[in-house]
Amino acid sequence: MTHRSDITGLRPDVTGVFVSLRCSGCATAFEAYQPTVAGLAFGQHACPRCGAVSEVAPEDFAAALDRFLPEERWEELVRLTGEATRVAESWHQMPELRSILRHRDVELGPATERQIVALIAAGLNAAARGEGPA
Amino acid sequence: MRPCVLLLDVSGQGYVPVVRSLAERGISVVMNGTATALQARAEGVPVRPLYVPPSANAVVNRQLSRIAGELGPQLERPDVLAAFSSPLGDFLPHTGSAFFQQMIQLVGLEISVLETLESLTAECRLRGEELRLIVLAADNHAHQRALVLGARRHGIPTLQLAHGSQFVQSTVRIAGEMHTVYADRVASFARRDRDVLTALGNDPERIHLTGSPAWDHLYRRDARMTREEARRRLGLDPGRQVVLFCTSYAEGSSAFYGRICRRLARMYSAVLAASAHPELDFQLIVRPHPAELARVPLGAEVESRVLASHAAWLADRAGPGACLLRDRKEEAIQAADLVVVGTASTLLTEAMILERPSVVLPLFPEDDHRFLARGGVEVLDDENALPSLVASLLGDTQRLDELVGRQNMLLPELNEGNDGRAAERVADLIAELAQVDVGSAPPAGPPARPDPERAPEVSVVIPVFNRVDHTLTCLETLPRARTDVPYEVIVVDNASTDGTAALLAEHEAAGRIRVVRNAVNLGFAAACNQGAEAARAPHLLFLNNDTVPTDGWLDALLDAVSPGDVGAVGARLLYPDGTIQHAGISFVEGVPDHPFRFAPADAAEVRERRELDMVTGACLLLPAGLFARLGGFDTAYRNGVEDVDLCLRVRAAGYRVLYEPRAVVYHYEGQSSGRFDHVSENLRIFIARWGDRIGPDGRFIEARPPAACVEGARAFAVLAFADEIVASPELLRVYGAAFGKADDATLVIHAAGWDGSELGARLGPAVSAAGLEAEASADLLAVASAGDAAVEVTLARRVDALFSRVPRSGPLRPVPRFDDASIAELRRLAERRWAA
Repeated sequence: MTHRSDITGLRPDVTGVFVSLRCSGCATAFEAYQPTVAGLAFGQHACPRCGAVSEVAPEDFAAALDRFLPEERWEELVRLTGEATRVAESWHQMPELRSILRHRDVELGPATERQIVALIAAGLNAAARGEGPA
Repeated sequence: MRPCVLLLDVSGQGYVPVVRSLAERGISVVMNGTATALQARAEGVPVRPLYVPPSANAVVNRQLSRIAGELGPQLERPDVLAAFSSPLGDFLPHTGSAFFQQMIQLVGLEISVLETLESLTAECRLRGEELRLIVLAADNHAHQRALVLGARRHGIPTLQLAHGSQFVQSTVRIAGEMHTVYADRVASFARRDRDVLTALGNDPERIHLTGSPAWDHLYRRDARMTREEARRRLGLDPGRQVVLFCTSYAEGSSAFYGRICRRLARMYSAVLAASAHPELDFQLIVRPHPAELARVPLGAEVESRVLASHAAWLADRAGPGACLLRDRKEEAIQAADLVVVGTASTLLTEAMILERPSVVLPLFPEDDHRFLARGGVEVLDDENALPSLVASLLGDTQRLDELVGRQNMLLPELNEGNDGRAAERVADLIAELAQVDVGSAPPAGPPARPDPERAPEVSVVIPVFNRVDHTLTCLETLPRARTDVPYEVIVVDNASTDGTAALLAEHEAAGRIRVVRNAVNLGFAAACNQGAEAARAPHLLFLNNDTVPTDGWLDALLDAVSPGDVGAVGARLLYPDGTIQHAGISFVEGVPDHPFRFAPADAAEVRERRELDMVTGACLLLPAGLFARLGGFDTAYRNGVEDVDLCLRVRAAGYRVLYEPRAVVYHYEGQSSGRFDHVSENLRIFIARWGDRIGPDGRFIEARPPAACVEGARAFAVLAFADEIVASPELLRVYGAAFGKADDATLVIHAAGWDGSELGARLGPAVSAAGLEAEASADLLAVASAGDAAVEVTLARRVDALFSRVPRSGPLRPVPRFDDASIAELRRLAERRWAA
């Protein structure tokens, strides 16, 4: 039997987003990866306890986005990313860390800078929203 | 030295012409994009795949362990933690764990690529090549940037292939991801791309305008089709207009998932609203970004369910003809009367080249995308205005034509030359930066064929199961390793499921190899035995597909096996980083192992030819006749220990096993899937079979003298050879007829390589077939030579003593070993006896 989903939270990460669901059959809370196509979410998630299937439709997902991931203003987005970039470019430059992050005379910290920005920005954004620790 | 260029993460059909052009200029090309490398190969272009050396894993693990151990205490210090603080908030409680996990992962990839670089430079030296340039995709990944830093240490220049940096509108742009020129040079698409890079502070002298090879094919006449034809091919109504909606997605580096997803949903709503517009009747094609669903492997079933739900949802809202299309991009573009692009991506340029009017809905309307609109592309910040814009455009052919005209004017600023010749310009740039002197570099021609005029001395048998990249390199490099030994190549395909079959068919059609194809994977041993059955040469060389032989290897191996008492020869196998993978096998704590693994390639212990109990089957040469007599590899083993078992059987048969250091072969070791699935089972069989033959010193215990011995024989008449008699029982009848009446006659049958239990089973039928018992009375003394030298010497001396009755000059020559020369002399003596 398939039920309309009850989304109780969203958790984006570098692979996309995870939805927190509450099973309509047994009220068990669980989390599942939510695939999207063209930004729209479709999918069915089975409750790990009772097996009841919750169906996520684009409308449910859109409502969850509004509820759990409020839209940032462009200026805020620029500010968060800029600050994340600063942290990404600076933390590994402490002398103690530079000597640790080294292999074949190559410093390993600088090469990671760009790929780590998004994660720091997401963390700063969560902090700015006043969310509790992950 | 031949110049070599590494292309890292450069993939796509458009780069095949670049690779071809480089090869034609005498440049060796190494690539890690296997699909592109295979495509180049299929078109006859020699490309070598890049390998991560197996030793890199050990180095990565060791280094990560060190880094984690040293970082831990540092991260407890307040002054170090202060480096992570921000006035905007503390991100560590939210992402601290993920942050350090990702850091460790990225650092591991960096170390791996640095090890790979060391390996590649060493490999190039051994090949007589010089790594002159590294070309990278412009993804700004940690391993790419680390490679650039490592290349600088070696003095190797680097070139970044920029793609679409002028288009990117997202957090990656703000973070400078696509705009950071991290390599020494950049091949940029065109002027607008360079303008963006220069405006962000990059040195214009380092930016070269080439255009994108990925778009070259779109300029070809045969790539073009009418809208009607494209619609027919897609199964659409050729008479109805089409709008193509291409979407972006919230990629992994986007920190603002909610904002992007919400924006995409609004764009989609606007497109659906246009499809419901009362003045419009068009077929809607929605093309999601192909990478969106691939962010996490979902499995075919889940993926098709998601797509089916979406397609049904779309059909319900956009009416007949609406479809979700993930592939066939170029047909979809050409079917369209209007292309709506959700964020300016490379697809926009493709639509412009194919002359389809386009409208851009920016992902971030606040971002600076206005350069697109400068005399060119239609940009719509407010998606709510889309339905009316679509209505006005689709109803006005002249406006659509004007839009295409403006796009055409803009194109040279987005794709240098706008002529479909970017591949040539990129190849020119690479050759220039690699400082290629075309006159001095020998052309990198196709692999040589085995010489059909000379009968093969060696049959090289290569069993394969998948890992087409390894097989590709092996087959390519095999003929390049210089040798005076004529040889043939037989590949046994154990039902590979990747591109192996096509690759083998290509080489087979070119006459370079013969192929034995299995319907199912029969394992290493059975495949080798099949190859041996198909072989025509007097020597067999079993070779793994993850090997790269070097000059003179085959000559050295054949030279080592030439004395008749050598039954198997193994080579010096090196990891790509130049350390020893194999220099013979010994028992270590009761298990066969490689004692010199990771030693330097030129360590004193591995430079001498040595007699051993075992060598590896990754590269193993032995006489074909001996292999047949031993019954080949034992199929009781599954992908392991077969070679060790075979070597011990060679030793038990009285032959020596040698390690030949002059034969140098690179080996990536253990790359086939399932290689280590049966270790325990194989060792159990091995110990049961050989456990009591391994001495406390870990060496093989020589066989005891055979049960059948010379005591009691009345005299000796002639030496016969068991293998000849089994093959031709009539020979025994002739022997019997000649000696049967002599009271003192004893026919000594020497069965080298057999054990006692085989004699009855194999000689018995031959004796019966010869009718010897009925017709002759000669004593038969069959001696199985199981490797005991003393018995062989005794036998040789006694037979020799018999023939000493024949007048001969000189003293009796001692026979230290019953080797080929002794046997040959005995045969000659026997012939003279017959003649007498």
